[in-house]
Amino acid sequence: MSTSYTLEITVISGENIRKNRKPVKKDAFVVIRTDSHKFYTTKMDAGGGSYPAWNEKVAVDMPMHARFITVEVQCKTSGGSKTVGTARVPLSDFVGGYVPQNYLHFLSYRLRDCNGERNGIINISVRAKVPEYASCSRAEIGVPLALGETYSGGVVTGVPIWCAYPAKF
Amino acid sequence: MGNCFSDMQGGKQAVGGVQQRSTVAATSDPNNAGHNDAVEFFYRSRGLQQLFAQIELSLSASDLLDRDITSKSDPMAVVYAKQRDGKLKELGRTEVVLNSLNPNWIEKVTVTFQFEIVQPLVFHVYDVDTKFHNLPVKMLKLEDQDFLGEATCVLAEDPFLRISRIIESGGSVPICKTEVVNNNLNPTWKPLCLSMQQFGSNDNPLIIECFDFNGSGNHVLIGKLQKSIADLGKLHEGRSGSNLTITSSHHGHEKVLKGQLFVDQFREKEQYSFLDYVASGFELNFMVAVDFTASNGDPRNPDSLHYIDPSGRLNSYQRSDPMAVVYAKQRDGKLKELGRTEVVLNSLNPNWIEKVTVTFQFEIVQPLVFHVYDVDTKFHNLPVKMLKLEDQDFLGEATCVLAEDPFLRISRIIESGGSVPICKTEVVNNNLNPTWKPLCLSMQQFGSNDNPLIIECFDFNGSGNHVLIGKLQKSIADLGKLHEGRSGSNLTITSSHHGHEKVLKGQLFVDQFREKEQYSFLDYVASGFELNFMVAVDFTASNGDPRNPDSLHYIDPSGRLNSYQRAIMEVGKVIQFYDTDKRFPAWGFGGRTYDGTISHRFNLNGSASDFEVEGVDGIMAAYASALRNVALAGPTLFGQVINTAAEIAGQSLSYNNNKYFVLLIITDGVLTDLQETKDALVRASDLPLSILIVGVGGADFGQMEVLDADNGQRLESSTGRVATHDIVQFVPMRDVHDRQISVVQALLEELPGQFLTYMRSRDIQPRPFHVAQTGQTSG
Repeated sequence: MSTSYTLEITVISGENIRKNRKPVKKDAFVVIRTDSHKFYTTKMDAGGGSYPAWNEKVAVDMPMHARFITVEVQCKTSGGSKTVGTARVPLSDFVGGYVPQNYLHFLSYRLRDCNGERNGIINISVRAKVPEYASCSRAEIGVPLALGETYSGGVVTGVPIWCAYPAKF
Repeated sequence: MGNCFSDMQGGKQAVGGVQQRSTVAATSDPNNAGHNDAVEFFYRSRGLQQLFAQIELSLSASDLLDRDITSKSDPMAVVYAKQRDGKLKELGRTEVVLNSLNPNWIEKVTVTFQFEIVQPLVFHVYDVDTKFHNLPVKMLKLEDQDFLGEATCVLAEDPFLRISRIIESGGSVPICKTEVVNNNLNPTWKPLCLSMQQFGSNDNPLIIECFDFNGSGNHVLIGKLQKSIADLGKLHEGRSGSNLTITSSHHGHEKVLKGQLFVDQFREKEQYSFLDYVASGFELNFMVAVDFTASNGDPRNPDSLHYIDPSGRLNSYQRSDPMAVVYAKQRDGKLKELGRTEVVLNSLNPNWIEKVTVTFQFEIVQPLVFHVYDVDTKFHNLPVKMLKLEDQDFLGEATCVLAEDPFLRISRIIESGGSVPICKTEVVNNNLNPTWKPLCLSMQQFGSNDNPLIIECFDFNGSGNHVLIGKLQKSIADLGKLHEGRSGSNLTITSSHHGHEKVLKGQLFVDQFREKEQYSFLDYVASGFELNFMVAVDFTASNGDPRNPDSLHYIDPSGRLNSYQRAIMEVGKVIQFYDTDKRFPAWGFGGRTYDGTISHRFNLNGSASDFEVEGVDGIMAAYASALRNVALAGPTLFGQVINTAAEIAGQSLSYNNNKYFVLLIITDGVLTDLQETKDALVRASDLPLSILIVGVGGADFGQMEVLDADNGQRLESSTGRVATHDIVQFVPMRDVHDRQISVVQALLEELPGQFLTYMRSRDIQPRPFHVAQTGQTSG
């Protein structure tokens, strides 16, 4: 069994993002983390200011055990860069639930700065690319047997295990 | 066309072009309308050509007299041909229009239009007396009716064309007109010659109007069209015609087709200007002859025209030697010199070669001052820097500001010739090379891809008097080409000096150009998309005991519907129209069901497993029966019904993506747990689901407005997630009554928008749907 699957994350845009209480001027970028080791960085947004637009697709390797992804908005500083806002995207927001496995989720989150204060909103889209062998797009509804009068059964709905408990594989 | 008028012949001649020999033979196409095959065949078999055409008259009248006492007049029109002896021969009648002073008769009257003779027509309008209404129109005795009025006209047309050019102010200026062709509905005019000076450019829109010549001078407009020279060329190439239309004063300003214009000849001939020759190397050779007659006066006398002034001042036979000095105006008003040009000898229109360098600072406004001096001949050998300005002749001063806050304004040219602004960009401060944010225009705004648009670049001025920097005219198709070719288009301004030349003021580039097809809500519905209706009813105690007539849940035996029933009926009626299977999930919340527990989501039909009912009637029946079986309790919580609706919407996505769900929640009260509802709404916001909330009764629904998010504040869940879309619409029922708008209109106002937002954000287009395969729900 593989130890990770792929998440197609498009970092779309940010809204009302501030650095030191003032609107960001330019060059904001986003860092996505799935665990402490791996992270992914987008390009910098040149002209959007405090409403940056990246529209950048990132293919993220999601470890099986990971329960959430972290999205950080960072700004360039004289010494390097600084995180101005962070959001946590729980797995349950894009895996499981009633929609098909490969549904394109459009999600938005409140960003909070290092003091826990609100600092804008981040808009992303997430689509889970499920490995072939565990792929299932929907719950299957069974077909009733045509047994005429003697038929006294019903119809079952089969839900593939992957859909309900993705973390177990 | 009627009255005698002096010099009729002169008035009919062609104007504004060079006369050329006509080489095109006239064609005459027999009209198809009301064609009598038998008659035509008869004539043809005897070798005779048809000398007439059948035409159809459509009649309408306005402001007729009101003859009836109890109602308005019931008008009917009768058409006569006036014969040579003056007698009237009836040609036909329209139908009777009941109760109208502005009738638009449907019945057409067919008239045979003979080319050779002038046919006067007479129209009589009658008010048909009530007791004749069931008779066929033919049987009506006109002498028994009320005569309302008469009109006459002549069935002949003397058409001519007038071509006008649309000018910058929006009006139009006639350039030329053709000669008048008498009595011809299919005229061919002699060729017209136009020069570029007259029509501007090949893309300049020209208005071509076809008038019916009238000796009195009141020519009647038959129809018009707008084409550029380039368009006319295409018409000629394609051998196609273009429609001449007229805006009908009835029919809501519809365009009525009045004929077609064909271009039989189209030839471009290049004509060179004086400057073209000079630019290609032609030279003027200048020779001078000076007058030495005594009348000039003794040259030693200061009054003489030949007097050479020792101070260096030039007499009329000499000229100036100008030099320019550029200053920056500082904050204290003092001028600081930035640089000078060289001295140009003997010129009143100098083009200095020396450049002056200025440091342009983006942040501040820098006023510049220019002084021009006439440099005295004796200083001509000194370096320009050394010249003392106070010793020179001051010729003049000019100022300007070295900063521009440009923005673009795009306007659309309308039929009357004027222009209507569609949109403008934001202002970019202090930038001579601005890049604006992308603009989005809908086809409704710009008309068609070929419609000419005027793009003006203004310099923003806080007082509102923006200064026009330059402009250009392009259609959407042209802008697309500019983008493709990565080329720029010149922004020009017409100079008030230099004989109205166009002065180049900058170039416009199109950095982004994207066409996106946008379907309407009905496009989706037509292609098979469905709305699925679900309803949830508030069973909390605050509604009042249903047996009590004051209760919001009171079922009136007389049949009068209570607020809940009204909301279900009105909204359901409309949504039912779009819901193909007419099976609706129906729930109640906040009530105590048969097993004694309070449920926040119980099936309205009382069934344990099946939550669907049939049709709006089914909902009403289930609602009435639930009132008997369920006790009102509380609290008011929406979370569960919203979650269930979201579950249904989510599950349907496994099968197809052409269903959109609408949950109607009818409630009387204030939410007990607003956050729980927000959480449920945020989780549901990324699904094909809209939630309509109707507030009944007199409670304060302030918090519901928060859910509606119309003020732009997106809903936030307790986990930090923010709603993807606004999927809620809230309407208090009492507002509906106060303002006399229907609850349906108010509630469904946002629905098509929410539907389209969901579909468009995922690029789901109206298409015959098919069952989803893996990866079907794409984004």
